[in-house]
Amino acid sequence: MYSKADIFLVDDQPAILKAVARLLDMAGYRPVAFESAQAFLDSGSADLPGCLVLDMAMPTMDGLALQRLLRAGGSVLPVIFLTGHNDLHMGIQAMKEGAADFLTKPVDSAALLQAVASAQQRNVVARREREELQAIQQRLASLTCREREVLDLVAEGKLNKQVAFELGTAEHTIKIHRGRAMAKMHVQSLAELVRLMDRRDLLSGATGRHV
Amino acid sequence: MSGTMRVVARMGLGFSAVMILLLLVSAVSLARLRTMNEDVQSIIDSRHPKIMLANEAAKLTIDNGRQLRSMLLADSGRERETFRANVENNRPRIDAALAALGERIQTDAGRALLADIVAKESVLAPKYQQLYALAGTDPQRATTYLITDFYAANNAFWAALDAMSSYQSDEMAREGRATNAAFIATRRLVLVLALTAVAIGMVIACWITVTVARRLEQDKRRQESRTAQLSDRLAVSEAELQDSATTLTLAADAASLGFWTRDLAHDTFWASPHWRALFGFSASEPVDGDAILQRVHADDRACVARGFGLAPDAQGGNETVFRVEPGGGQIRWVSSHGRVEFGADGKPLAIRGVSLDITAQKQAELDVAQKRKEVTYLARVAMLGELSGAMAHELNQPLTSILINAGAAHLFLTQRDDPELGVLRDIMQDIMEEDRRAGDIIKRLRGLFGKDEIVRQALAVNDLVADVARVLRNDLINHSVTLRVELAQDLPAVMADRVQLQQVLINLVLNACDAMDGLAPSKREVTVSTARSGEDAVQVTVADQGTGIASGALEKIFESFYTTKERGMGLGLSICRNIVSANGGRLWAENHAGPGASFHFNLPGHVLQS
Repeated sequence: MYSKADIFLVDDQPAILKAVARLLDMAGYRPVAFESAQAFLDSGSADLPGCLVLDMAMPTMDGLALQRLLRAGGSVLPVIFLTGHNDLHMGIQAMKEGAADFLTKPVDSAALLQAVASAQQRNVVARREREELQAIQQRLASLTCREREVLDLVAEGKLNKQVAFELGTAEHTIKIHRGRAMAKMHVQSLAELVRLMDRRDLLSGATGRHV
Repeated sequence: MSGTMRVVARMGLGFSAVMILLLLVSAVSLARLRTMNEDVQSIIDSRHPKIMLANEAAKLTIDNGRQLRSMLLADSGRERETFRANVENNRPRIDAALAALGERIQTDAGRALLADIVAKESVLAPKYQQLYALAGTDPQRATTYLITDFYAANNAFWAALDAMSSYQSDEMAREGRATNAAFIATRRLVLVLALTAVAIGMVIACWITVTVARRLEQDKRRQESRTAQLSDRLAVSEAELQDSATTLTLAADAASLGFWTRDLAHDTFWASPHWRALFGFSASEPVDGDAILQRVHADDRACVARGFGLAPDAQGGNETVFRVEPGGGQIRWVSSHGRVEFGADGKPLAIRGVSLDITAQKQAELDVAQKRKEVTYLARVAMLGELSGAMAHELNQPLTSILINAGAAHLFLTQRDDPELGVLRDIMQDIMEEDRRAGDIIKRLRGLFGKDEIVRQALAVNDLVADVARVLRNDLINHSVTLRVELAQDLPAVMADRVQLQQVLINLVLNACDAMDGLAPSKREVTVSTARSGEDAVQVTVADQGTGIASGALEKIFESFYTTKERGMGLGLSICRNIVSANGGRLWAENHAGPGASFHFNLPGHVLQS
């Protein structure tokens, strides 16, 4: 079990907001309630760990619009939608756009808790993956242009000699660049470097799909 | 009749006259011919023997002369005696002939000639004795005597006889000529008589013919003058008849009317060609009550039997609308109007009527009714769907909070794990279960009335507007509203559900009508216009001249259960908006600067969708 993080609730119906908050509180979460999408955005909680329980049908800004805004802002906060039967197709649309789950009203408390737990777990993983990617990207960012070029070619499995030929320098120079780049990337071996680069490709490609 | 009899009598009379004349002529001719025949016979009977007797005597006289000369020339006495015997033998024969002749002579001329003959004979007779005497004595002298004296006397005697013969022959010839002349006269007479008879016959025949012809001519003239009078009168009434018939035919053709007449007294039925064509009867086919009923739809037979006066107790003559099956599986709607004509005694004589083919009208009515039914049904379904949807939405909120609250309480009680609170936990369980059941019921209700499938197809919006204008014709008339349609050309087709869009348009137009109920009828006008919106979308606008929409309600009117009408449900516009957005478009309202409001909706074009 992961630590019980903040659960953000957005619903225009105060009664439901109060009930869901009560339930989550009872289950050991820290619910934070908002009566509108805008209020949530204004609170600046989008990048915090946790998950978002979001009502689909709301005046002015509906659930789907808020989710789109969050995704556009790079937030990995998982979203659980609560929908009426009227908004079924919107729920499906939301899933297509990366929602963690959608539950039709009236929502069963057990199902809600399970969805929250599952989203919570995903959020932990997603956050960890995001941090990992950020770390890799920070290390990559510290390389000089030459070092980056050498690193990319080496990661493709080319020998020093081949890299030197392609970049038009001496093999000795390549060896120096390579050594410095490996140190900056915090890797000891070529195998480790290749794994790190693959991980980065995987995470960056998966971002937004795997939240 | 009498004229003909007269003609026959006259002709009979004429022919009889001719026949009698001919018979008369024949009788006269026969009598004359018989007389002539007798004359000829008498001539032959009286003259011929006289001539013969005279000639006989003359011949014997000449022979005597020759015998006497031979006697004188003979050598022997015996021979002389023979010749003399011959002569003496001849002389009595001459006397006998003269005696017979004398008996037959009747006329004076004949008697004179006979007397001459007798005189000459008396001169001659002594000469025979003289000659005989001389011959016996002096042959020489005897010869001389013979030549000089005897021959002279003998010749004179012969001459007298010959004169008698010539006289008789001449007389006979004369009498024959007379008889011949009589015959010719008779022949001429007969010919004249016959010709006269023929002429008289012909004259009579001509006279009869002329008379008859004149009579006939008179009759004919009289007949003609009467005919002329009649035909004059007829021509006048015919012209009048022609006039009204032309007018009637024109009217009947224009209205596709068929005429029929049912003669109740003679139980006959007459119908115009148009009527026959309407009921599928050929021009020669006999038409009677059974044949008509045979062509009528089974369900309508009773009413037709009444209308055409075919039922035993039927009066006939009212207006009936019924179906006709003229054959070939066809069905025609016919409206028939009949009128009963009564006689002086108040009994019905005939029923006259007209029948009109109203199939097209009926079909159009049925089509519109069908379309209305369809739209009404779908509107009802949509309303129920909307109602159940709105209710579900509204009810789901409290149900959700109840359920979650109960869940929270249940969780709380579970965490305490206090046996005392077990009952409360069960209560919470029951609340949650019942709540779920309520949710399921709503879900089922929603499923029952929710629109299952949207059948999207490429639609021409202009056609859709025209359809709706047709369906709403009656409603517009009832509302005294003029509908103006302004259609833009070359619009792209839209991908949408036809019936749903019709429903939206009907709803908007009827709303517009309702909004103008307080206006004078002349000001009630709804305009439906179509236009291109952006690149490939189509925008439809329904504009009215009514009271407009309260400021601040421009969005609210689309919410469920929001209504400004006394008996409205507040679902119509909500349904419309749902339909339009389900078809990928948007529906909104705006107030005019002047009176009235407009509702617009747009729909993406077909190209964008595909």
